[in-house]
Amino acid sequence: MDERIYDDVKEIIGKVARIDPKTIKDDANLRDELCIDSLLAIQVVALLEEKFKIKIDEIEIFNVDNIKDVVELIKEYLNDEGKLIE
Amino acid sequence: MSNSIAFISPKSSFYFRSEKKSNYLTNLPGFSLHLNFWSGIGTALPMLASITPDEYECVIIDENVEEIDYSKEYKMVCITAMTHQAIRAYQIAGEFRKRKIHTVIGGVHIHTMYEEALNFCDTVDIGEAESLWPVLLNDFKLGKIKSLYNGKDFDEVDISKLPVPRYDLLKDKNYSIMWLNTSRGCPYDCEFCSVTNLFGKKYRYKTVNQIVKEIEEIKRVFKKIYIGFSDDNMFVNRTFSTELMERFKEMNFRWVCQSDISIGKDKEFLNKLYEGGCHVIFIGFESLDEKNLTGIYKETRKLKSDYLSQYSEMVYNIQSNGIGILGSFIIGLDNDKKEAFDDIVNFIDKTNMLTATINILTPLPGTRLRERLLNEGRVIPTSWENYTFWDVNFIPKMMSYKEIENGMLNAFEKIYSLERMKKTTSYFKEIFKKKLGTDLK
Repeated sequence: MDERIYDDVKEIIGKVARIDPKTIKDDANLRDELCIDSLLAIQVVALLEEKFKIKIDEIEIFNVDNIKDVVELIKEYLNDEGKLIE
Repeated sequence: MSNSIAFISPKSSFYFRSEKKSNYLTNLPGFSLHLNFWSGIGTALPMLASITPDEYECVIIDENVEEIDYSKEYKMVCITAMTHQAIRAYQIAGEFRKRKIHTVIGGVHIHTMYEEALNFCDTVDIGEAESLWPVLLNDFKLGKIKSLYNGKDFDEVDISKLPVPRYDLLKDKNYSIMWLNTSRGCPYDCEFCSVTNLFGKKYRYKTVNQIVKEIEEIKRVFKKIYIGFSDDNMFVNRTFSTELMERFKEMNFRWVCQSDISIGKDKEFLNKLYEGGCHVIFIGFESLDEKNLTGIYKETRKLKSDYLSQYSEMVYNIQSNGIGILGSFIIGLDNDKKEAFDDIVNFIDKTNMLTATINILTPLPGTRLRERLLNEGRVIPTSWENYTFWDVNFIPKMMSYKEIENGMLNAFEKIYSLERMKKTTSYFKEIFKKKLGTDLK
């Protein structure tokens, strides 16, 4: 499950930042390494919500630092909504 | 003896001169996006380094991100200065002159204030430097360098023939954004702006291939960095811009730029901009008062006042295409009363503008504004260090100094508030769901 979420998150971030998802590491920093500013972060949230059918708090994405944090955030939301299948 | 030339950008701030006020502002929740884009170094120094013969080693020192080591030996030191950097530039020149190192100064401030600069530096360049630079260096080598070189005495710079700037010299400076330009010149000659005075009214363009090479070099040197186009008005020639967007789309990268609001009418072009990777556009709205906007232009030009009634619709057209706007407004124009702050903040809020800034009207040297305010006895004899755009340097017509100072802080508290950040996030989220969502299904 984790691996699939990682792949989906990387695909979304790669699309938004216009970089090859395969080059994105799990611990890549969103701002410093992937140049995800607040407007791009909003694009990431919009796509994550569509992909995982969840509703992420407007500001929460600005508080995460790296890909791993995003995956944990998604898992939290999926868990809260009873959608996380291990 | 060293054969290095140091190119120096002096320490400066576009924000409040008061550190306390600047710190307060930069800690507001919504300010980080603004800070991201309003940083980095101008294009002049890497360009000059690129046309410097190989016999010299070139070093770029940006005092905004590193200290100057005065113990290093240089053959020559070249300093660039915008108005708010001028005092610091003269101090740096003084330090190197004490060490018997030849100092050269140029830049937008010096273009007009060259007589002042002659008091502090050995050689002063007026105007664009690319044509005069080889002559200056040759004179220096022969030991007969002059105190003054004027770009007007040389051929007009053909920017389509310029080489790729030396971005490699900036590699270790940890910038979040790298600037380049596609053109120079502006026909509008707004009263407060010095660009037309420096670069002329006629637009001059680089070639599309030349621009592509510059971008490729930036991407080679910096693995991850924003690209920003510093042209004062990037899309005036829509045919050229369309060709550029087609190449940018193939290159698949994100970038920011500056434009006037007129692109907000051209929905077809806005879609091309988005597809070409345009991410955020800095747009000068200047004022929401028709009389103020009319006063900006000379002769019969009325670009912004004609568009005023359509500002909201044009902002919507741009942002609904997934492109954020960093709106720029001026306070202190002659028809501004203190209520102008509320009008601006409400407009920013109502249009869900991604982010914005308000600048205080500033009588920069080389502008028609400065001439007029000097004639009216309204320029305050402040230091150039005060020319930050967020400090007052003139006597406003219908507002007090305190009203401007307090109004700026109150307006910024609202513009960069967490509440507004949440609102714009929610607004853009829906836009991106429509624009991007279907691609992932």
